[in-house]
Amino acid sequence: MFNNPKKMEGNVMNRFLKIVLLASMAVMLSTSVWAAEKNMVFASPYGITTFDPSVSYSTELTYMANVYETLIKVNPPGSRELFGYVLATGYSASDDGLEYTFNLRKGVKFHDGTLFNAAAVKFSIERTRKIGKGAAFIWSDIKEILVIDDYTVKFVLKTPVPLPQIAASAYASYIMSPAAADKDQAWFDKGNDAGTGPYTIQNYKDGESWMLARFSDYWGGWEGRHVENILVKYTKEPLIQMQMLQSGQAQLAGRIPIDSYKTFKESTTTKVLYGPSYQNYMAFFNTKRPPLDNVNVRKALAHAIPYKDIITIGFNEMASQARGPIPNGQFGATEAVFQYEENLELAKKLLAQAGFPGGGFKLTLTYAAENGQEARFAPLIQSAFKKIGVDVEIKGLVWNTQWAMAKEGPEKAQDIFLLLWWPTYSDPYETLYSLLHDEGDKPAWNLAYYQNKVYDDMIRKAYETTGSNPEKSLDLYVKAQNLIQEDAPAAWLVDVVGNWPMGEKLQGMVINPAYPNVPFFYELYIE
Amino acid sequence: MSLFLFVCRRTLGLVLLLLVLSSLVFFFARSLPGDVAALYIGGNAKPEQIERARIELGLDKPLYIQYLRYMEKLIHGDLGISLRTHRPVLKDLIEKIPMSLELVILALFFATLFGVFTGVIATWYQNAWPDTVIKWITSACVSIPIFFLALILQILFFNILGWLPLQGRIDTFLEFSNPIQQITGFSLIDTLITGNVTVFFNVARHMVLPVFALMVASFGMIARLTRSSLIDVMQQDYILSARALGISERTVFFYYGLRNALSPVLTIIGLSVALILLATFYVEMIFNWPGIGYYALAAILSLDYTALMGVALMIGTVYVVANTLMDIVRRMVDPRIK
Repeated sequence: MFNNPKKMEGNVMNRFLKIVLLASMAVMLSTSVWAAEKNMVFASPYGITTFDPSVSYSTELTYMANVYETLIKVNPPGSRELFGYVLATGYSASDDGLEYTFNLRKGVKFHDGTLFNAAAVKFSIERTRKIGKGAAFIWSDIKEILVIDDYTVKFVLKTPVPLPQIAASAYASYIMSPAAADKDQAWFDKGNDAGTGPYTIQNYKDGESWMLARFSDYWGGWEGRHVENILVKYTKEPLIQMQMLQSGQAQLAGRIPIDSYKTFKESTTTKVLYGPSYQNYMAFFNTKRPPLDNVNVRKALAHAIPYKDIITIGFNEMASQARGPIPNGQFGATEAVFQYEENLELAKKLLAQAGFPGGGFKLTLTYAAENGQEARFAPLIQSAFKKIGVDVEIKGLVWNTQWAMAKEGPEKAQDIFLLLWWPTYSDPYETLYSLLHDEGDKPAWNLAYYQNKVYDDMIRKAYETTGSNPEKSLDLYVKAQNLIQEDAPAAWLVDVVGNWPMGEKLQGMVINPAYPNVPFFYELYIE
Repeated sequence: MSLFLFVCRRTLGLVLLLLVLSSLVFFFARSLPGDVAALYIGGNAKPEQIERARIELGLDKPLYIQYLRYMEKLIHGDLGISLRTHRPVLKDLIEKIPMSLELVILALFFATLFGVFTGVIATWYQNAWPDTVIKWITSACVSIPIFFLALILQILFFNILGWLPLQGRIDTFLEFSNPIQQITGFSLIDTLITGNVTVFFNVARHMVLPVFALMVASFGMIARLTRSSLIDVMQQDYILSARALGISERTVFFYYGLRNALSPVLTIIGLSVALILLATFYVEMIFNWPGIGYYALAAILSLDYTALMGVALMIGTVYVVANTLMDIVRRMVDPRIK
């Protein structure tokens, strides 16, 4: 072009412009058309760590719970029965709670065509235990698994732990095809699966998109109204999820900007479904470092926390005040557990009793910088503590950094650590044990460095009694929680209200807090 | 020095630079706070699981052993396993790089094409109203933050006008009903090779906004530099001599003037690669484009240090290689450069 500028003639330019114009029109007009009531798009912020059902322990639960099934399932709160039957049709327990026998459903196929039976149950649980990753620890009290016949399996326990809760767990309890015995995690992570659920994984592109496609031979059948194919578009940004919903590009989203919920609800094309969740927020106090080694100081701070403001400002009313570590609605959460209330006068009085009249000390509080809610309410705690004379320096750190700091030992850890928690399975023991049992100076989750053998023994006893004597178990759990309320190693902030933003025409969604962030797609349909 | 020796010297420098870069990246990543073994396990990890993962990842070994193992693997092209995806980092990068390179190459191409063209127009009409308008526009292009521009483009072209897609590489349903057959990893090329015209135009449509967001700042810089360089060259004695010899103004301008003015412009094009690469981090996040920027941001947020090292090395390599190539091209265009 520059060597022979005389070629820049008008007719060449005209031809060039025509080509550009035509190409632009083709680009602008090329859209794809979709018109089907059986298919939906899910703009999801929930990524995949692994598809291996024995190892899965992260946000891929959202999909795993639709591809794999457990023997039984925890029913949503308010249901007549605690459990619903999935791959099992019934179970019985021995009087001493050491044996559980499950009767299995007949005529169920795995996605590879293999028939489901008792051998598959034994294989699945033993594989999970053998690999020992993810939530495999929930099976640590199993002595052996016996195949009685093709459709009867017996679990023999070392101690009488609540096996139904374990068998219904959101993690580590999936039943998989024994034909996958020679497959490793890498095989699953390519997007292969070996479940019995209503959907199979297809077209998996890591970090981009995948499909949950209808499994034609699903034992539940496809009569009636069910979504048949779910196109999952991995979308981290809440704003983009919201825009996809509003434009009709998606029918379901994982989260939208917290300030958008009001306008979203008022729209005629979108809606938000609310329901209970087992997620809760807590603030751990470093009980080994002054002045937080003084129980009256901790109690004072627990009374100074602005619970109502946190709910209003931090969560736009989509939360309720927590009563203890067990989330509202789960076994173990009752009004018999003492609840701290915001009371600044009482807080000042307690500080004076502790030898700190008017406060006069400084604390460091850390929160996960990527957690929008914690970023909103951490300053509320800071300003509330200021009113009782306690200065708080708040630091937003990337979660892993914050956690690493908290585990470095009581001398180096922060004073107050904000944590979002949810249980692995629907029993209080795992929460109470993980968060507050004695872990010495190198904790994983006991970031208050709390040590109380009475508490440790009490919750273990409660756990072992759940199956045989749930009333006694509940009593022990309440006593254990009141014990920690008395010691105040942490302040229990809020129980989160679960929500699903969705298109107006999407129906059938029921929020089940035992399975966080799981839409059971088989129950959904589009009007 | 001959061109061959020049290339050899630059290539050797490139290898040494990458060696230093990989070492820096290793030690920097290891200094990041956070328990990577716990991250690898995920969920409410128990201490014994974390410890097992620590051993599995080799984190229980002394740092110098970890470094030697890292360098040994690197020489064999093994960038380790992503703590987040649990897949080989190299595999992740190979999948993601073409998706980002597609945006980067297109952005660079259009920035250069329109930048040089605009600079030429501004020079041709120097001090007249087209020059003034171009100066305003290019100033704005250089000044506007790229992430802000990306959001504005979304609001304007998707929310208000409804002309262009909001996000992604391809319409979701098309992605499943008519997927792109992966051959080179470059969507536009693969769709052309397979004759998938519908998807080609659909992907092109999805690229318009992210490419535009990426190219704007570079376009402004290239246009402004082309103008100032060309004005400077057009005042040289040999240009006056060429005119005196009766050579047409167009030939003087485009053949003698522009060619000699391109040398500094090529330098800025090389630097633009870095600018555009950096911008892909947030442009990909805003447009939900599953490229290397999106992958890197996820790695940063989850402290996936193996992925971070892989991304840092990759970006460093691309930048250094691009600048080396630019230097070679400059050497070819302007033999005065030694």
